[in-house]
Formats: sequence, C-alpha cells, structure tokens
Amino acid sequence: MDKTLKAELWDKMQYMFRNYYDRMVHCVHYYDKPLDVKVLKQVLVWTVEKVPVLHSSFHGNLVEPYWTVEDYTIDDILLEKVTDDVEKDIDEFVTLDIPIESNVQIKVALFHDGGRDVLCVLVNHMCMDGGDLKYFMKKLAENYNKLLAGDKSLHIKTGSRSYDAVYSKLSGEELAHAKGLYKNISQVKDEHYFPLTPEAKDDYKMIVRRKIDRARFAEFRKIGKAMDVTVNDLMLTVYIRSLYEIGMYGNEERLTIPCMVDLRRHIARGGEDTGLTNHTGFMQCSTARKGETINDTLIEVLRSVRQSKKDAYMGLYSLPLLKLAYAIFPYVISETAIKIGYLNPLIGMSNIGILEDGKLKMGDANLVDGFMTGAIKYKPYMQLALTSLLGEVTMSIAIKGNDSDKAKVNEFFDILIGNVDEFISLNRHRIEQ
Amino acid sequence: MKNKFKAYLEEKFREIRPTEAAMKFREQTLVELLERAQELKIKGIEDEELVYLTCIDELGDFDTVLKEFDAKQIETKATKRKIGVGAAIALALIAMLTVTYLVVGFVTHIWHPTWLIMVGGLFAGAGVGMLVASIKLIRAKKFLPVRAMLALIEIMASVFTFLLLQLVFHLDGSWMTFLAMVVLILGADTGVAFLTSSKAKWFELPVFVEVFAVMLFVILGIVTTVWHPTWLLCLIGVVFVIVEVAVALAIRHNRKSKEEDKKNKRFHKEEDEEYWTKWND
Repeated sequence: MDKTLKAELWDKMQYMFRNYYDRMVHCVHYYDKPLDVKVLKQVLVWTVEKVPVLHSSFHGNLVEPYWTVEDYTIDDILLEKVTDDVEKDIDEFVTLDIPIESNVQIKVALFHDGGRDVLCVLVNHMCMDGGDLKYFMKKLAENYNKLLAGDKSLHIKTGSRSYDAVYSKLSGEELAHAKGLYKNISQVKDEHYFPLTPEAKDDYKMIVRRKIDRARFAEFRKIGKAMDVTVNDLMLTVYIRSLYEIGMYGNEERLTIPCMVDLRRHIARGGEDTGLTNHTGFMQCSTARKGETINDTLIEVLRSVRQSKKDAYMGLYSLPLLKLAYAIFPYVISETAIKIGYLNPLIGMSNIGILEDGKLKMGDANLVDGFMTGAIKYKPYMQLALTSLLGEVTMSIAIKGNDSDKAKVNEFFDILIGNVDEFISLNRHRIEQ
Repeated sequence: MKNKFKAYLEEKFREIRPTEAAMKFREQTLVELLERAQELKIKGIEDEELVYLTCIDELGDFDTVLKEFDAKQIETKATKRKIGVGAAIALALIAMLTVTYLVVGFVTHIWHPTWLIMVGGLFAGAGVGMLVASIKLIRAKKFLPVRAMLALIEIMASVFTFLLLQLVFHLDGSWMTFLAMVVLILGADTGVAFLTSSKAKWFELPVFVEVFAVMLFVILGIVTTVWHPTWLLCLIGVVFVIVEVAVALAIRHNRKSKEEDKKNKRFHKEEDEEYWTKWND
C-alpha cells in the first residue's frame, strides 16, 4: 500500500495560491570552482530520503488532500549540464514548473560554466518557504562538506510540518489569545496595481533581477545605522517611494503593501526542531502619503512598521480562521470559502535576508554570487524579493509577462536605484561628521 | 537623548503612584518620545537639545495627563468583565422568559396575553439593572443619569401597568395610567432634586404641584363627570408659586439681615490696638 502523508494547513494554502502564482521557490548559487557531482548526488538523495514530502505527489482530494510518497531516481532531481550560456540556462531552469503530480517536488540543476559551477534549486512552495529553503541550502552545503571530509553524521530537521508549531513558545493566556486571533488581515483593500500589461497568451515566466552594488549598499546601510533604522525599513521606503513614482499614484494616496514575515520568530529554537515547511505570515505597511522627500517617506514607513513591531503576535493573525475553515468543511468547500475571504495582495515585498557565504561554501568552492526569490506571480500580482550576499543586494521580481513588462520592471529598478542614491545624497552628511 | 528622556519621565512620574501600570505607561511614553525624536532627526533637526525640547513640548500638559492616568488606573479589565457578565445575565433572562412563555403557551394553549410575561420580565430586568447602576452613580455623585434612569423605570412600570389593566383586567380608562405616569415622573424627580440639593428643586416643586393638580382635575372630571368647581384645583400651582416666592423672599431677607448684623458688629464694635497704627498703603 502507498505511504501517504498528511497535507498540512500551509500545504493546502499554497495549493490554493496556484491561482495567483506558480508555487515555486527559487535559489541560484554561483560557485567559483566546480562541485563534486558524486558527493552532491549522495547528499541530495540522503536529504530527499529524510524529507519524504520532497519525493511525494500531491492529491487534491475533494474532502481531504494528501501526499503520496513516490519512488524516484537522482535523475528525476538533478540536471547536470555543461553550458556555454549559463544565464540562459539558469533562466530556463528557474522558470520551470514542478507539477503536483510529479514524483519529486524538488529539482536541482548544476551548470558547469568553464571553471565555475552554478547550483540552481527549484522547490514546490507547498513543501517549504524561503526561510526553510535557506536552511535547506545551508544543510546541503554542511552535509556536502561533511561527506567530502568522510564524516557520515549528516543532519537535516525532520520534525512536525504542522502550522501550530508557531504557538510552541506560547503558553497560558498568551496561547489562548494567539489562538483567538481570527481577524482576517488579508482584507486590507488596496487598489494600487503595478503597471503591467494585461494578461496575454504569449506571456512567459521571468525573474528580472538587479543588484545594489557593494559600495552603494554599504553607504546606504551605514546611513541607516546612523539614523537607527533597519535595512528592511530602508528598502521598504525606497520600494514604496518608487511604487508611487512608477505607478503615478497621487502623492496623498494611502499605499498599503504587505511584507512577508518569517513566523519562526514565534517557534521554539527558531524552528530548528520542526520539519521543512511554510511558516510565513505578513505584516501590512501602510503609508498615508508619499511624502515630500524620501526622508518623509521613511517617516511614514516607520510609523506603520512600528505598530507591527510592537505587536507580540505579529503574523499570527488569521491562522485560527484558516484552521477553522479547514477543520469544519471538506477541502473543496473550505478552499472556496477561503478564496472568497482572502484578498491576495497586488503588490508585496519579501526580504529573504542574508545568504551566509561562509555556511554555503561547498568544499573549496566559494559562493561568489547568488539570490533567492519566491514564486513567479501571475498578473496583476507582483512582489519584490531581496537577498543579500557578500555585501551586495539582489532585487528580484518574478512575474509572468512579456517584453514590455520586463522593460517596465527594469525601469522600476532604475527608479529604485535612483531612490537609493537620493536617500544617500540627502543623508550622507550624517556619516561624514 | 534616551537618558535625558528617562530622567525627565522619572521625575514626572514621581507625581503619581508608583504602580506597575504607571511603569508600563512610563515605558510606553519613552518609546513614543524616542520614536518622535528619530522622526525629527530624519526630518533634519540635528541639534539634540532642540529635538529633546520639541519632543517634551509635544507631550503637552503632561502633568494633567498623568493625573488623569492615575485616576483611571483601577478599572479597564474589570469594566470589560462587568459588561460581559451583564450581557450574559441579560441573555439568560431573555432565554428564561422565552422558555417560560413557551411552556405557559404550550401547556395552557393561551398565547395572548401571556406574552406579557416576556415584556414584564424584560422591563423588570432592565429596571433592576438601572436601579443597580443608579446606586453606583449616586455613590459617584452623578445625579443627572440617575434621574434619567428613574424616569425610564417609571415609564416602563406605567406601560406595563397599562397593558396589564387593559389586556388582563379589561378596565375602562386604563389609559389614565399615562396621566399618572407624568405626575409620577415629576414627583420622583422633584424628590431626587431635594435629596441631592439640586438648585432646580425650587423650580421643580411648583411645576410638580401644578401638574399634579391639573392631572387630578382631569382624572376627577373623567371619573365623576364633575368639572366644576374642581377646576379650582388648577389654581393650586399658581397659589403655591406665590407662596413659595414669598417664603423665599422672607428667607433671603432674614439671611441678609443676619449677615449685615454680623458685619456691623465686627466693623463698628470690635476693638484692636493695631487699628491705631495700621496703614493700607
């Protein structure tokens, strides 16, 4: 008899999100030396064996969906290729889909590009989010290094994938309060669209990227530190100001965008003991106006973000509501009910954070470049994802669109970089004293 | 900056009781001050002292805020719980009355006017609630809402009495309950005015007497069909006002005379050697 796995709350939610995006999480790592393919294959198989959901197919049963553990070979997971156009191959790979019926829910590509290798990972978002993909990549490197050194004590977390791990740090009144947060926070209506063209048949998937270079970002961050403001607040500020500009929204219009929040902050030991899964919520950042200068926009952002930061239950809202819907209705009805009540944000931001090069080194191959990004959004939705590595920030916007949309996203990045520069020039004096 | 704000707040908070709630409020105020300071700096004010003073100034009349906070410290959650208990009692009462009405209806097959059980029960429940609230308000010396609630209780009692007389006892003229209701409301209110030494008591008393007399005249006229010379009752109020004014003037004159005598006694008869050398220059 086939072995089945329970479809957890977030698995079902991410499945529902197929209506808004392609359900894939992406990671691309550039190494300065070739990797040992034999070792990599062993580590991949070991990891996938330890995490059965990664070699399972999903069944959207009308009453209760579930996963069926499937047989597979390493060739189902790993694609190895010698390339003469690495960027093209990367783009082709990261825009692939992994169907829910597939026997594996993770695809890895290793491109040999002259003397360097590029490792690309594509995972079904139903299996894990950006937070756990970061963990997964670190563990992949750690286990690879161990195996390379002859150490067989490999490790990856294999605990519960249940959503309620987010309550593991709470008890008593706090727990009761958190489990009573039925408020639907997705119901913040914001009619602002990113100016993409209408949906068309020839739209294709793309991940448009731009970097904030090391020197620029260092200065940007230093000024932020002098102003006692986090990098996230600063990026949110330039992002929001750039949205006002590219979207030509009125200066006095309220703009609300959600920022993804890693809910592992609420989990005991930062989620080290759970299984690989999704633990992502969001907080709303709402600016009442654009503000005359970029510093005024920053003040607007701070005023909004402070409210969320003061909330000990940030990100935990709506979870009891989702749990209730899935508990009392058969899946087909609960999905319809949730779809009615859920407003997918038109514009979002996800700061995935720092990719730790030291922990991602594989053997003697150093991580010299890379990024992670979320799912590829279908029009009219869009999201900016941020990762930083070796002092550089990679901004990425993953959408399904056409060349004109690509040009618009690139124009947006120009505006964004322009706003970073504007912020620096307006506040440089604060670090010159 | 943070230490300066802390020092300022510590000094200010010494003026109120050192409770945990006050400590939380102090910490919250510090966060707000620091946030505002950060905003001012972002906006371009670089002088630390100016930022500090602006933030403190924006606190407004902080002494009053603190005093009000100190006065309010006690309740909040207790109030919420009381509201919750009150709502639960109200729901239980409604449920109980509905069940009673249904039981009586199904057993006796009489659905009218047994519904008065519900109306009477709800009025009684609301009345008891308002009486309890009135007692608390009297203790807090808030008499205006007490008078409004008493009037509401009397209206509910009158409406129920009318329904009872009309629907159960089929009494002709049961509508006159409403004439009595006006007298009842005014009488009770005048009583409260005297008990609480309200300034309006001397105005309310003749109004009550006049309304009472008019209603008495109307009721007597309807019941006995005798309208003359009972109409003279209507003049009682006027006579009462004249007597009241006369009494008031006499009392005032008496009080003034006593005050004047006292003053004259001190001014012309009291002796003090200091008066020989004292100057008011």
